[in-house]
Amino acid sequence: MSRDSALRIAAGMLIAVAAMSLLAPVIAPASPIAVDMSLRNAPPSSAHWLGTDTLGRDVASRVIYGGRGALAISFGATLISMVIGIALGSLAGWFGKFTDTAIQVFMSIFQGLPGLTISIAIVGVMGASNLSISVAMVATGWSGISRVVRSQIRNLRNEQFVEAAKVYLPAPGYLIVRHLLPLTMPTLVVLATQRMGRMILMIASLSFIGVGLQPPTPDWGVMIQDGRQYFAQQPWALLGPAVMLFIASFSVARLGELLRDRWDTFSDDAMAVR
Amino acid sequence: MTNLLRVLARHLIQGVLTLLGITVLSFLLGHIAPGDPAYAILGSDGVTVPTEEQVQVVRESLGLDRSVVEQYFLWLGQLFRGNIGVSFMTNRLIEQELLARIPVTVQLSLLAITFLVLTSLPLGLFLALHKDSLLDHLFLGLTSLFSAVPGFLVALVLILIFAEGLRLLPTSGLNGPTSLILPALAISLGSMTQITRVLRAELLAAFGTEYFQSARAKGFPFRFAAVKHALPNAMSSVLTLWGNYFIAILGGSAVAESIFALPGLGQWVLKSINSHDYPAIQAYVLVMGVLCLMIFLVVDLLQLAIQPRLRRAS
Amino acid sequence: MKRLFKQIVAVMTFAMVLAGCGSGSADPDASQSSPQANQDRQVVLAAPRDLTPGEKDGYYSSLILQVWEPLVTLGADGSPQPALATGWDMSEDGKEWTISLRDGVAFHDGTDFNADAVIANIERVRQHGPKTSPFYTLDASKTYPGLVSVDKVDDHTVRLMFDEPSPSAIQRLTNFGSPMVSPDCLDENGDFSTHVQGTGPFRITDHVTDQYTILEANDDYWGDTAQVSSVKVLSMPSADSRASALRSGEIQGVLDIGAILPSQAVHLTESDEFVASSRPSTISHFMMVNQSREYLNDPRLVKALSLAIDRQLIVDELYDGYGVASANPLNASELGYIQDKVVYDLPEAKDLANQVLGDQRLSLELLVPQYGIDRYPYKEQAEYIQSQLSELGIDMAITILEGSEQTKRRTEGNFDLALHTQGMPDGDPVTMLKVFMGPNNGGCYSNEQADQLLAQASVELDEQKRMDLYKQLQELALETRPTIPLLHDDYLIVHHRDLEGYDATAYGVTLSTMHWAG
Repeated sequence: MSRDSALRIAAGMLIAVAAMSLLAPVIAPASPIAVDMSLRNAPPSSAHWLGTDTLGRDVASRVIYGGRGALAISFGATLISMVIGIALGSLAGWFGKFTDTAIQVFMSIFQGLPGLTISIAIVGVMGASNLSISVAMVATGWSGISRVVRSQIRNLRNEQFVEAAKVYLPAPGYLIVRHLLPLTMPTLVVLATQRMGRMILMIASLSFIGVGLQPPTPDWGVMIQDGRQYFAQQPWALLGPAVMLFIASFSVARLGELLRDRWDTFSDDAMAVR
Repeated sequence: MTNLLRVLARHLIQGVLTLLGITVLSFLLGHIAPGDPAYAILGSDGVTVPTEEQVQVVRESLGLDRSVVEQYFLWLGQLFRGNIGVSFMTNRLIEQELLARIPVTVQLSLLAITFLVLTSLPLGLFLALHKDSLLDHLFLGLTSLFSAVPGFLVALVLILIFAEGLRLLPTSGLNGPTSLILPALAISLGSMTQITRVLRAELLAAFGTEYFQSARAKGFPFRFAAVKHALPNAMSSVLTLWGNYFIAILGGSAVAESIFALPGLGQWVLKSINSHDYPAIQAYVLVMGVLCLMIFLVVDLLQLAIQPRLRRAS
Repeated sequence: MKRLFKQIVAVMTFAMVLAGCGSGSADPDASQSSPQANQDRQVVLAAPRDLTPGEKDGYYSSLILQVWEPLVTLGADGSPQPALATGWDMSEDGKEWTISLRDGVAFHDGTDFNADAVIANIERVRQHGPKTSPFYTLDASKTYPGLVSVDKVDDHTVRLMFDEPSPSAIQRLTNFGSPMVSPDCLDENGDFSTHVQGTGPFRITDHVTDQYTILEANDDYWGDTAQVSSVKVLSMPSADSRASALRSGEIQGVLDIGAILPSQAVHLTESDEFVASSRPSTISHFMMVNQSREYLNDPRLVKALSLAIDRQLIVDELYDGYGVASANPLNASELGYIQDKVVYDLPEAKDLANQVLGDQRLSLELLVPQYGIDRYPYKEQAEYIQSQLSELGIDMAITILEGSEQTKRRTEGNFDLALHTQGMPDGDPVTMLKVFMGPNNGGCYSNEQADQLLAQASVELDEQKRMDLYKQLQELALETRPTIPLLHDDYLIVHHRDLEGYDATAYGVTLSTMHWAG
């Protein structure tokens, strides 16, 4: 399989998942929250393609709706993390000295803690809600981005063309934004996809252990937890969301990988973790 | 030697600054938490309802009527005296819980990182030596698949196969060392493939270096040179990676402890969240921060040991 | 290098095999079937919580473990049955109770069970109470209100003197109302200085908080001694873990209230390997309503809430028939209980809600205790109620809290709606009714007639009249809704068929009659 077709497939998968989530109200066969106690844990049928869950809700519809929260939050949080990371990273990389040290210390606080720990603490203190999960995701995401941006800007700063540009563009802001950042774009895009993939999984984990999205909101992580109990008689209540979760995070991660290979960017694997 | 000391000193100072930063973060967490701590402490037995005067007294004794900065330093002072705080939930010192639970989480994470190292090292080496073999292609294909599966799913599958199906290992609880095997596996499986892949890449890169080529030229057989000359250099970045994954494993232990009902820090903080026990959550962040800093320190020391070049401070 | 790799793989495989050998002995199928099964083999059971809270707890361990015994237990019809007390008499004016104690009983530490011991135990509660516990609160003002003194008549008779007629005094001493422990194991604060020394068929030999308790048979027990010599009771909070552990053979049975989800019990007993046992229990499930909150203070809305919930559906579907649907706050095992006919009427409920709320939607928060998630189908229950209430124009948010935190908020009145269980603290119906209808009830229910009836019932000496008062109180509760009862629980347990003589009782299991199948 050539790189290009692999890339297209991964991108395609991701677009399919995103489309499914966006168009959920249109394509879902039934309401994801409509309870029907007379038809609990039913196997797949023509009325319910994946059967029903323990409250008689249509599993297929819940799976279709199930990614909305996680995808929306991870997408939004990734964007915000990028903005914060780019801003702080550029400042640190360009100005160096004290600004650099200060920002680095600030960064190291967030890098010195596991992402899940920060998330659990923030959600624990603020109460589980879309807002607190978003804040938690941003808190865990921005530092890795700012580190990469910082090192990229630092390297670029010493290039000859920058020296030349500094002569007629004394204001660094314009220089950084217009000329340097675009050069970092490939790396940043790859980074963004990695972050987003990781956020999707983290949100699912938080939901699974009960500090993520709350009922009746359908969410893949919650559905997997709920589906454990009746797994023997109705495996689809767990398998449906598990497969979708896998597809979503896999397509994002694979896309990132393939882009990185294609653009042959320097991406520090060491920060690929958190 | 003084260079080495200077390097160590620099790392230590950075570590201390980061630790202070973590204390600020932890303190702020407690501050943005809703509810009145004084009220929570007084009413924690669920039976008595405190009067306004009682609440005022406790509030003053906790220093809640002073400015945020003052409160931070008061709290920090308490920390130095070894008082991590009193849990809202049990009305007992948090230390007691911590002392019982930290070993469980640490043991779990150590086992997980051991699995990680014991598989990624030999496997990465093997794959680098047999580049482009069938196994190599298979493995590369599987890497992205494995890294997209969240830890809790892996845990569920493992329980199904090993605990219920084959009845080899316990399904939950802490009853001897076998109880940690499945949870440790669940946390580390996702990262195993990733790190193996990186080690493989680093080794392949090392094979291309002058250092390696000259070693081969001297007559060392390929396999021997791979271990003696290529591996140490490749190890450097992998070591950092192991350290970072250890951090992630520590974080992921919360999920494993929840599924496998292990009495560690993760299970405790989840219970504390359900009790709105904010001092406990603060303590959790602090303890994790300290543990992670220690890991960073160990990794840095190991790096210095492996790469003598680093001993000369830049 | 390949060799090193192979060596490492070999070591890992070896380690895994060792691990397998280590836990192999937990598999009951591995045992040899001998003509007389070895009763010295340790039985391993699991409970959803630590049944031995320990030194600072009012009881040290739960009644279920049969380590300590009360003076009286509860019969099947709700009447008191002799345990450590053999007989009791009430004086004409109801202010004096004379209790005869069982002869020839000793505590585990060797001290005699006699009048002095009983007095010491009662004085402990009076002086050092109230003592909290996850089971019930040991509180003299609730268990023996109006007690003036407890005196020794002779070594095996005590007399309780009250300042007002107390016809239900003996009822209040049932089960958790009168734990009898050796005075020597208590310290100066009324807490325990050693493992609890009771009189029961089992003694505690080891205990690790939140992990396990080890029980050993008491060979000197005054009644039928236990048939197995050693029991290990594990603490397993997660329902899935318990079911898993049963399937994998790690445990032979479960015990305590909410030990296994009804759906799991049904599933496990589909194969012959497992047996279920159930009995109507002393626990009931409620949805508490804070009737001091806006809109909730309108009885019409509370009625709407009650009518919108199909209790029979909950029992049939979520509890798999293990339970009794009821809107009566008094538990089915109580003396004088009257079974009501449950009503489910969604159209009427919508109408009533519309009257109160008009067109606007109301936001309410339902507090769900974590123990409900671990032991009962509370998650589904909450989501079902959420969807029903949504039809009434109520947007209900579900908040899961740790049990103790939820109890605190309920007592403080800091809630809208709350799911919870309430067990019978003792055999006196008034105690239970007071929880919901009396002063300081968490739901802020206030009704003069209730207060009157409760006061009357406490002192009415004529039994017939008392029963009539209980009837009136129940009817009042059904009409005016101090709370929204949902169902009365069944005590449900499951065990592997290798274990016999293991049956459910109203509050516990028959630990002393259980034995390995021969």
